[in-house]
Amino acid sequence: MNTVELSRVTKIYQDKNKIPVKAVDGVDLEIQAGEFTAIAGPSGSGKTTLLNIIGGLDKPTSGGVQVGGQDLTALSRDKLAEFRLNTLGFIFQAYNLIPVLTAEENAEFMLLLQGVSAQERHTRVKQEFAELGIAAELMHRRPNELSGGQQQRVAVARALVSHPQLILADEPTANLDSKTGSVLLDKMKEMNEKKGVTFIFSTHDPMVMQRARRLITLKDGKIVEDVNHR
Amino acid sequence: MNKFVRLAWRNIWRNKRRSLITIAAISFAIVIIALTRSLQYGTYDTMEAMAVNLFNGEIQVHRTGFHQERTLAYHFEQDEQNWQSLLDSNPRLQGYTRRITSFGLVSSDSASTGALILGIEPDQEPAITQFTDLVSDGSKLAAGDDHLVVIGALLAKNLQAGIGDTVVVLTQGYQNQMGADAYVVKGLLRSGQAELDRSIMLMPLSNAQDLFSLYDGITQVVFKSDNFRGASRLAKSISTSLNGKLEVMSWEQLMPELKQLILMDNVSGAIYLAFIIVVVGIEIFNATMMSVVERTREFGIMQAIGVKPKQVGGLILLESVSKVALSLVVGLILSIVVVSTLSHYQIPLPKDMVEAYAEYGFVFDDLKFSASPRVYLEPLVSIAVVALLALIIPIYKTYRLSPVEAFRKT
Repeated sequence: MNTVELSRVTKIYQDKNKIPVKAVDGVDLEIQAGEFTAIAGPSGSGKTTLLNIIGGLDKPTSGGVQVGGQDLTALSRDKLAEFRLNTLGFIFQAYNLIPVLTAEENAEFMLLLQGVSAQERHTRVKQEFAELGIAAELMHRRPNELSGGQQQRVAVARALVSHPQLILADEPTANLDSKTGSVLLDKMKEMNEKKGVTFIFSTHDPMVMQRARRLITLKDGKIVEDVNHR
Repeated sequence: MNKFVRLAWRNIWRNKRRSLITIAAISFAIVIIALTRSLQYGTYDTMEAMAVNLFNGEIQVHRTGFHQERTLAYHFEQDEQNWQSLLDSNPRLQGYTRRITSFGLVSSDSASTGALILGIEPDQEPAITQFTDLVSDGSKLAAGDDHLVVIGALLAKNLQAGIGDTVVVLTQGYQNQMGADAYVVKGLLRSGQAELDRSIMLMPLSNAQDLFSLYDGITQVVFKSDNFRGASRLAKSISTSLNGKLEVMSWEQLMPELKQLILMDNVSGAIYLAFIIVVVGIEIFNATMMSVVERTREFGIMQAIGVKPKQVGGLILLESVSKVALSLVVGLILSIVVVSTLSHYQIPLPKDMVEAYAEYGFVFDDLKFSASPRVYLEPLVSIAVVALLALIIPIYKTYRLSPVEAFRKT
């Protein structure tokens, strides 16, 4: 079953000089549930734009986007937010935790929005933290009291704790040292294998590309290579 | 929205210094506005109460035209109405007194001058107005006095007359007949109002009726109620009871110039305060915009993980409203403390201000503060409204922000 279906997706931006730039150019793509996929390519090749379109953060100029059976091009801004809340998990390069919330509160934030009870939230966050190797004493620390690796683990926990069908990770290891990045990738791979969560990475980190079962390469907004290592 | 309360509260304090400056600025503005309004309203209240209670009274009943013409042609029988039953029928009325008001020439051994001659009921008048109590030398008129008068201190000075001296009054009576009689000065009245002290002569009502050949006639009945602020409504009610036979005027109608004076002062004060409120609005706008701009990426992330645009806007609204509400509470508490402390002490007015007020006939020598609810409500409501207006643009900008735009801007 396909989790993501893109058909002839094109995204045209206007640059600072109002000149149209094709960030994504007629991309057709199908990603099945449970895949561990990396989208690679040089800077400006359209990786992040493609990831944003899949995540409903950006709308294509033309083409169709189906994620988890939903046509994202037809959804309003509120419906898109609802869709992201209930279907997706996001992991960003700069962790992007909410600075005034503790690690636990950051991780449970999506559950809070979903209306999950306090007890259930606590149990699920505790379990996710344990699986990702986040020490219990870090739960009540705020992001500025955590190292980069710890923050990214919390960000991964935030993405996983609501049990999404799909996790989109934009350069998740770019700000981490190789050891921390490697450990975190192993954890994500483990989650993928154990829980069947679909992962799509945008990256130019060779570690991510090595671990990906499918590697899609973009250039000038077009897919130039799509290799499946299964 | 309760999901965001904790987040909003922490966001208020994430930049503690900025929030404290905003809260302090709003609270300070509330205190300044409340204090200014307290002083204004306190002064107005004192001026009005003084003007009403000193001489004119709260409500006057007279024949239509008397207020403009001031002639005896507009007199009426003192028992034309049953004033006592009118008093009894309206529990808000506390008393009445009858008067004759006219003019005459007063002479002493050495000088003559024009005077405002007031025939009063010495046993009733003190319950309605205060001027009969302001006798500085000699004594005030009493029931049963005959051919005794109290004259203004400046009038006495101009006549070179003192207590126990005889003065002669020449007038034109009701039907143009000559009125003339001699009276002994019993007391000197010093109201502080130069105009009044220079012209007034008080005599018993019966003596005035004889002098002006009015016999049972009077020119006015003056009423006092339990609260002079309700005089207009009460005047209408009395007018209805009298079936329109006589004109009934409240103190606002009797002294429109006082209302005008207060209105002008109030408007100029309000314009000054409006500037303060606008500055507060700009401060709230600025602080909110800074917060929104600094947190643009964070709002993008929040939307990316499933927070709806309207919820992000609601978060800003919640944070800002909480901050303003906190400022209003602090401002209110400080205002109450400052106003009640200052009104507790009698702070003297500068001498030139005392003299300036006396020019207009108002005699008070210390600052007057009001603690009425409107003193506090006005700044609270106006700042709350301005704060909400100041939030429209920042909240709208946050609401319109798309996640991709938020990532691109930061």
